[in-house]
Amino acid sequence: MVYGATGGQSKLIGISLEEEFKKLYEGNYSKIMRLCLGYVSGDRDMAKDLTQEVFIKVWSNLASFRNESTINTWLYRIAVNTCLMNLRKMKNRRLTHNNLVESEADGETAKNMEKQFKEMYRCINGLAPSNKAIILMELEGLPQKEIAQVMGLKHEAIRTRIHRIKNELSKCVNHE
Amino acid sequence: MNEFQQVKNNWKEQPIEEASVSDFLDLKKRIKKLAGKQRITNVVLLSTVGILGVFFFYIGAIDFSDVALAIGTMIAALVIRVLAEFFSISHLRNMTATTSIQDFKVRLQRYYRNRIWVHLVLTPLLLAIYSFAFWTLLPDFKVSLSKGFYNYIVYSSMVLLVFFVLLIGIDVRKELKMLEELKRD
Repeated sequence: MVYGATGGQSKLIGISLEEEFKKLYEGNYSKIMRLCLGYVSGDRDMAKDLTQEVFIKVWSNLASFRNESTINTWLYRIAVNTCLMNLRKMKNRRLTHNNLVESEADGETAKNMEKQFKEMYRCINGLAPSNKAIILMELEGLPQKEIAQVMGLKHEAIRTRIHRIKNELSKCVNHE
Repeated sequence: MNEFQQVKNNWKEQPIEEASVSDFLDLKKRIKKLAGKQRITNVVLLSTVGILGVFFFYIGAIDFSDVALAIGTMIAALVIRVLAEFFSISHLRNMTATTSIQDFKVRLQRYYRNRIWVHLVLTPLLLAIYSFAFWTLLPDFKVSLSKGFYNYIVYSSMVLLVFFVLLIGIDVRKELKMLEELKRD
């Protein structure tokens, strides 16, 4: 993708900036929302607010996107940095039934799934902010090389850290 | 299946709604509103400083009487503190979010350290200047106000001072907690 500014109006070649923004919003909303959910212990309302804030930043920076990284890396950087910026609001947020992401399943299955989500968010919430970002991107299936680019760390360092965080998370889920 | 794989499966099973047209329209409205809000904040802030400046000259500060000088000092202390808060908030809002997480974290830590400096150095200094200026006004108040009202002013200002000191303490604790959290990894 190539962006250029002509006559004071920034445009993506062949497609307007607003159309490009809409495409980015529609194509990435769910994954950004999931990342934000991980930072707010599964609180759907807060994650929605945070996701909106992420896309506000995407809009205000889109014209200056210069292909120095992939759009995915760029988006994740904005998303994680926005979450870090709002850390103060989220800290010590308690997980309640009402604000937790709702399962579509019924009865016993729904209860079990809700319990699992709660457990998963509790464990993710206990991680340090950077580790949280790393594992949330890993859970989303982002390649480790790309995670390294988002974080500004070496690939090797990311590989080691992911291994460590996975162990930490597994222990937490098992209450060890 | 190991525990992490289980967590990963759960992660993908989360029922997340897709982006809706109404959400996108809400977002566009919010973007438009934010730009307007920023302009309004700037206008309000500039007008406040302007009005206080006019008020300062109106009450006779121009002849440098002690009373006017004290009131002027109190106003200046307040304006400096409000401006420090305004710039701090806008600095955080305008922090470039497109850099790598490591770079961003370093800048965020610097931001919180600056906030602690504001709370521990600038604010107490301004509070001391404000209190001193207020203290110099007390003899004039005693002469021109009724005893009851004078006592009310003295005691309520003491309560306010304690309240502000507590507020500073709470804020410093919060900023320190954030710094600690950011330094965790």
